[in-house]
Amino acid sequence: MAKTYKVSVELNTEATLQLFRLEGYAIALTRTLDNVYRITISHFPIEGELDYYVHCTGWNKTPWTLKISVDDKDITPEPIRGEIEKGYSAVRGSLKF
Amino acid sequence: MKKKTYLILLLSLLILFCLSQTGQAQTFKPIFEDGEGRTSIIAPLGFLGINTENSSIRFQYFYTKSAALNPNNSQTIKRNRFYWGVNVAGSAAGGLSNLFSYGSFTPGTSASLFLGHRSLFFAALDKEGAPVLHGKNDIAIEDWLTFRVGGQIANYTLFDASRAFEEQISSERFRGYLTQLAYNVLIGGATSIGVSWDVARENNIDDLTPVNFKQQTVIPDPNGQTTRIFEREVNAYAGGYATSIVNTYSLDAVRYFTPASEINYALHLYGRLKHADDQPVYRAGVGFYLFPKSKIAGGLFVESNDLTNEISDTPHFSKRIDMGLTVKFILPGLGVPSP
Repeated sequence: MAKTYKVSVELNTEATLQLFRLEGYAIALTRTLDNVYRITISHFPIEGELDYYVHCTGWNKTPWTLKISVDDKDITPEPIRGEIEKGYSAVRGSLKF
Repeated sequence: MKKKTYLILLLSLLILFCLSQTGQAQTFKPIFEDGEGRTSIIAPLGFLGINTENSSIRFQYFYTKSAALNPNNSQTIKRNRFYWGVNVAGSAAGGLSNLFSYGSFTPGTSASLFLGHRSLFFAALDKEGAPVLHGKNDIAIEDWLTFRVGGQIANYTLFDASRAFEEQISSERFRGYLTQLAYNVLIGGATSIGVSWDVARENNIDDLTPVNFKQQTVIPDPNGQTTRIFEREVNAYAGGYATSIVNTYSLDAVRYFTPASEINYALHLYGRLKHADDQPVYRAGVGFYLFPKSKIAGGLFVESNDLTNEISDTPHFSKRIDMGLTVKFILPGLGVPSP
């Protein structure tokens, strides 16, 4: 059984976030007043590396940045960055922590 | 007109100066509107904006949610495609300078609530969550259908020299409303087309003549030794004030250019057909916007508010041209650490 962690996610963009996945699970992020999509999950199961997937749509050249912390430790000291091209950006990756 | 041009230039310089001081200013994305602040291309984000043509400052909050796991089938997703938001505006008939500095301005406040559905005709995701792309170039297409309802409150001081002295100054309390249905599509992140219909209760305050005068109240001392004079400045409007129900049909088209350089730019063309009292009025304009990367950007637009000279007093087309500036600041972090 996978160990669970407290996971916090912040995705900062002026684009529209269509889909966000962690470990393959689709997780709904809500846009807050300052145009940041946020969520905190208290007990999230992670096996090995943390897999993520971001899919945004919007005006071209719109940037997005992703920050994730696990058990209140920032595992993205350098934020993960992407940029809209052809109206969308879909990026998959994994993080060691 | 000359005063207005100076005001626009002054405001541009002020904004450029302010944002140059912030260093890493928030990035700025295109938000396109006409001189009345009307657009059929909604901005799906929160912002704080300034429009010099209708002398307004606007705030918008936009709520949306990304897709979630389908609770009935873990292999598929639930696309959260509804959104809502609020838009609040403060305006000063008579110019932004009134809003900012003079004590005797005539403010108006409007607020609207909007609800909408995105990806109505063009799905951004399939049921498994994969991006849906179109054409041989594999581009994304997004669309939004938005319904907006709102109201407006404004207080004006009117001046009529033809009436008896004690009746020359009067107060007018305006109560307006707006209902709008808009549809817009963004193709490949670079081309946007929007259409909308709205019905609104409007007034003609922009067509009246601003009048500024000082009113004195003289109170003599009963023993005749002293006289006190109280003075206040009055900003009023002269002319025939009227309200009407206006149907407006809007068409907006935007092309956003992203060359290899650091500066992006956009061209906005728009047309309006306004129906009030069976007399159609055509408005049209063009806007040019610059978007330097991570710096301030804004738009300058030129428009004719009576393209075919249906209601204007002047036959000269050049005199029916107005110029304005729109600037939007994307809402910054509110004490919450952000990337």
